[in-house]
Amino acid sequence: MKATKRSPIPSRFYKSSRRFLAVIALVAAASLGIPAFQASAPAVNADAAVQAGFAQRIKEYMKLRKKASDTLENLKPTKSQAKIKSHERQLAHEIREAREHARQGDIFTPEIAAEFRRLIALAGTGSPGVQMKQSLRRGEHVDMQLRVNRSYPDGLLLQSTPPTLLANLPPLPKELDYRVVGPNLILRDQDANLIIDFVTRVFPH
Amino acid sequence: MKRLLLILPLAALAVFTCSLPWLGAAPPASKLTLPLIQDSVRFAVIGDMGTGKKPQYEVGAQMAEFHTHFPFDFVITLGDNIYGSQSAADMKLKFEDPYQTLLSAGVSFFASIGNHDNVNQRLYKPFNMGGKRYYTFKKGNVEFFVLDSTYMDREQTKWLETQLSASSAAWKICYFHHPLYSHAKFHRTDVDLRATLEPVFLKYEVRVVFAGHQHVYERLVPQHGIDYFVLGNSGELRPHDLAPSPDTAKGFDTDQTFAIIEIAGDEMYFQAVSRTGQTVDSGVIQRQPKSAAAAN
Repeated sequence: MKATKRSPIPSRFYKSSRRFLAVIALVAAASLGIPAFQASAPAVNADAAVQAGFAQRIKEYMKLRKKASDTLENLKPTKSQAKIKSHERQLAHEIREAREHARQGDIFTPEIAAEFRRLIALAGTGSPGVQMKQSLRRGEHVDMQLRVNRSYPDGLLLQSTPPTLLANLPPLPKELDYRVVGPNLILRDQDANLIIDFVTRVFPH
Repeated sequence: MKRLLLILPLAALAVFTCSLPWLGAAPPASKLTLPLIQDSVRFAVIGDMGTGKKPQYEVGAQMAEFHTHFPFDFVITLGDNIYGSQSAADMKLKFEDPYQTLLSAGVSFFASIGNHDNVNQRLYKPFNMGGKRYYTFKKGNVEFFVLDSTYMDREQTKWLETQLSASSAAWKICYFHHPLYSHAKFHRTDVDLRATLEPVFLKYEVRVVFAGHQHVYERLVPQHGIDYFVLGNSGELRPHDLAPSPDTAKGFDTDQTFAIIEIAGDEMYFQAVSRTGQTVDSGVIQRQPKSAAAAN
């Protein structure tokens, strides 16, 4: 007679414990944010939402900018500096007209301004942060009156924006840049040489 | 006796004139330390030049004189091409006029952007930037990678890695405005930029780096196998700004300078020349791929 090996644990226990483990796995997966479990109840990170809002406002600015630049001749490299300066001024003029009522904080809303302060503080930590702060200290400092829709003054130098800082800020389209002006950060349209918004006191002065 | 009285001062004047440092006239061929090898890549280097003031014009004249003995094809600029306002009149005063002789001789300029430059200079055709803040160009067995160090964003570093990894040039030379190493006192070295760029240079075997910004001339002792030149005094000058350092191979901070370079095979010959035509530095750099260097 063949001896049958019997498990000391009843099969009923197996079934119920499997069910229990499955429930645990589902709860754990949902709390870890696995996409399949997010469909019914999207849990959006608050910082990500603020940054998405910023990206959307940049997108809207770029749409407006495209409309403005479409009214002008597409400028190719030229020997005529007069033509280059004229294009810069015309583009700035068209953008100003289209954003006549633009105010500080339209793009850098209080929420994203706070987020930028947080990101910049974060960028300043650790060894790359020490290097970034050193670069900021050693850069040639710029001081100017900030106003949305104002041209960045012709002939005024630009302080370099440290690479570590740029790596920690939301990316921008190639037509725009972040520039350091004293303790403030400005958002500038490069081709139009125009300040489109700024956030104050993000760097220790 | 009267004749003697007249002749003596004239003779003294002649002796005095001959003893003056060479000024303005065409440089004697003996002033040239470069070997003039057939089919070599020849260029000049200037930085921080666009003041529109007399010393810039004098450097321009000196470059033109050297060009007669050492016919270089192009000039690389290390930024701060135009100081102050940047109107059409400024471009004439601060670029076209000082280098008129070279421009007329068909010498091309390849500019990089400095912190005093409007980024729209990229559209100014005589700067040959092709409408881009950063770009690359090839001459013979040399590829130049021209960067905008005032705004080193992720896109630019990614672009640099892609371009360097795809390059098969024997010599990879990078140039931009802010130096990764320097011992000038006024601006200190940008360590964040160095931490970003140097690993890329090392990975892809960049051999030589030129930068400006500091208004002095300095050649560094090779750092991790890379030769760094700082030349930010082709117009602006900050006298006696260099602090002594064992890492300085050669420094010069009492007059404006430019450099002329010749690359032939595995050798890069360089000569730094002052506004008055004196050679302030010269030598040769050997190209040695990292793999070979590691084997030695």
